[in-house]
Amino acid sequence: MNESVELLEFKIGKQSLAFDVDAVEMVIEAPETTVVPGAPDFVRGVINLRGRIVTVIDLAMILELDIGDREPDQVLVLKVDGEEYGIPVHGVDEVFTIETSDIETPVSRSEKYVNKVKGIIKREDRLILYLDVNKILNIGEKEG
Amino acid sequence: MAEMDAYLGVFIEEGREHLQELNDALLNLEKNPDDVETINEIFRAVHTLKGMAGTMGFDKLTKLCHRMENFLDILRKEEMKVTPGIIDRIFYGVDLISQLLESIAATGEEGAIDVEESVRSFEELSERRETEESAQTAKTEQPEMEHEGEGFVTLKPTSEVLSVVGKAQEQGFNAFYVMVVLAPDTVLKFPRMYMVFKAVESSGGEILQTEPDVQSIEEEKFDRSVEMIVITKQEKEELQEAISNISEIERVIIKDLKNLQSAIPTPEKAEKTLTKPSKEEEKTSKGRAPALTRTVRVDIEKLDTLMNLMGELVIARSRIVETLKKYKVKEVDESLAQLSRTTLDLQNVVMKIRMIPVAFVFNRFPRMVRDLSKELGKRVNLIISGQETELDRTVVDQIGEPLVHLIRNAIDHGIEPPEERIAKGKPAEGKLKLTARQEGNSVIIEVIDDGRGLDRNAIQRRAVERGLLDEQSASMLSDDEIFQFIFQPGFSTKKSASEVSGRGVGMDVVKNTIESLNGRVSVHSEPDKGTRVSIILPLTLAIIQVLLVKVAGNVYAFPIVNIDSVMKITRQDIQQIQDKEVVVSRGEIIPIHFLRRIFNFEEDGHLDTVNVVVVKTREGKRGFVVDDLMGQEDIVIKSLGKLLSGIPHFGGGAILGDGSIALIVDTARLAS
Repeated sequence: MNESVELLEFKIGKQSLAFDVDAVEMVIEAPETTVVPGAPDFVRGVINLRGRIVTVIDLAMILELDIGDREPDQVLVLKVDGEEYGIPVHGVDEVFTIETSDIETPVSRSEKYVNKVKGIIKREDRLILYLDVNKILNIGEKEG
Repeated sequence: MAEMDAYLGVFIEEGREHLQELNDALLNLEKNPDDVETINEIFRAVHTLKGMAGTMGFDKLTKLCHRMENFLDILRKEEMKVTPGIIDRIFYGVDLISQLLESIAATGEEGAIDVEESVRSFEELSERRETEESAQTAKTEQPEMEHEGEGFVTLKPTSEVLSVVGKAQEQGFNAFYVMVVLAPDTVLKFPRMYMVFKAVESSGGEILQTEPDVQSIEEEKFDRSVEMIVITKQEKEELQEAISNISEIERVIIKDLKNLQSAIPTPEKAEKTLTKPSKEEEKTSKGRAPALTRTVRVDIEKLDTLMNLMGELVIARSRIVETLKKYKVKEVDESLAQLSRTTLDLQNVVMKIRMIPVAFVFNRFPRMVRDLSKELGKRVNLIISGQETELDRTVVDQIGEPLVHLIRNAIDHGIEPPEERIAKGKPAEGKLKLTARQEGNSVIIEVIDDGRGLDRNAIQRRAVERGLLDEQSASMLSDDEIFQFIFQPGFSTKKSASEVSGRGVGMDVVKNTIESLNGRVSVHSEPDKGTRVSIILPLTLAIIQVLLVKVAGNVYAFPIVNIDSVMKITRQDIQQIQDKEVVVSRGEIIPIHFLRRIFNFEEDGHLDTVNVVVVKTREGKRGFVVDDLMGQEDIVIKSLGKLLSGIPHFGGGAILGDGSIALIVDTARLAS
């Protein structure tokens, strides 16, 4: 049986990544972030999202991606189990549908991707890391 | 499925309410075992629970309630005397119902709770009555049957109905008194009755009056029988057959009203018979039935959303005000003032909606005190007052546990056994008062007992032993200051831990919980006179007053309730005592902390004078050095979310007028 998933593709640095589109609530211009002293390293801080305080997670740090000096200009707002999280990104590309059979299981090259990546998708000339939202947030919870 | 979940939520909520009623009524019955009205109340609550459980398909709950109901029916007909043993059985049954309900609340299923034993015990009790008093019941049932034969067992036709019956009979209609008795265990009682109504109406008949009234039938507030007055063209036999054909109908009794002229009370007579129940109603409504208020159930999450929107509105308003100040637009002043007033009113209304009476927690204590005092062999009279005092819902939800602890302590350690009390010249029965009242922006809840009081010497010894205090300074402290040590973690002077309390955990948990609600707790005690524990809570959690400060360009908020004072000091005022930095203010040594250091910001060593915010913590006063003081403000507390709830520095955040975020400093945790 062929099942398909709908994904949202975005970039951090030069790396293409994707989340299940259902997990993404909205995309906003990067707002001013308030640093939270004492918070875990991968938390960049908090933002004011229409009167709600939302934690911003540094995905680049979790995945050890090199972003150079470029500051992210947009923030993906995820909604998981009723909680909102912000993920700063360098641009959102598009929403696409892909059959699960076309997703390759990751060969765990290094520790940093284990449990965070659901699969790898080849699309045109790009390799997209399909991320597991829940696992990434769970890692956060354990360490936090 | 989601719809079912919604029903389940309502079922659990209402179930809990009925349980509360049951417990209250049972306690009442224990005091007045002969009060039939109380038994009726218990009967009705169990009956309603049975109906609800049946509709939701919870078999164990239905079965247990059914057997209890049968047994209660015997009690309410006064065929058996209420004894303490019987009350204990019912209490046990109620506990089982509560366990089943909580299991359903937690898992959606009834779980492995065994109800059979209790079911059997009620069956046995019911049977005992039957064997012992079978002769007597046969006698009492006989006249009842005859009475039924005459019609109008409880139904009293109104004068309007009687006049309609008279006119209908003149026009050739038949008028009948109909009594429908449903089969025992009929689950869908209203649908069955609905089919009865349909059967009557489909052949051109009309139902003039029912007993109980239609609304009660819709709500299934009846036992098994419904009485009606029907006018129809049908003959008695046709009607009988039409109704009897409906399933789950055990009996149909129909009497032609023409042949029973004598049975129909004249309008005057009817008036008289009507006045009697209405008087009774009056009595009961004055006596116990709570006045019905028109209410709507709202999910607490919706209220939180409303609160959030409210907060946004307040923020948006202050942003407009700030912007317009810059441009000095005079014309909008009036409408802005109006907007400010309205938002303020709205804010108050929203706050009020979130408030619920502390009765929601207080209600469970009579039962607890009863059980505990029995278990410990003490005699305790619990006096509750001020249960109508209102508090924010979140606060009410959380003060339950601390209060349980305090009440247990009072009964276990405070109130003496009756013999000891008599020897001391006190009444054998101890007094335990639980009170709540509002004072300004705070609510004060107190647990007061007239027991043996706290032992200053024992607490002082223990504090010295544990190195919390040295002998010399101990002698300088007042009694109440010494008593504060009971809130230290693991602090217990009791040698043997009893089942109930005194395990050395507890009082510190009480204190922590209260402090997490931005409240305070204090204790006052006198030997052999008793102990009073006071809990002071803010009226609401959602909006608090804070002092805004600046550290390295960021804004932080200190809750005003935690602040002792604010002072300006110079670098020279800071002294070193055992690698700790302190300042001395009015003879008091106050340890100080640099917020820049704690928050890992670059230190600013140039300033000669610094601002110190002095806060009260349970370890004493602590000073926090900040860059700037910005002033006081009312803010709406917001959660920082799951990921950040575990960090020790902050208890939440707030959004300021300019849209920026101020983190709220958790002074108690930051200082330790």
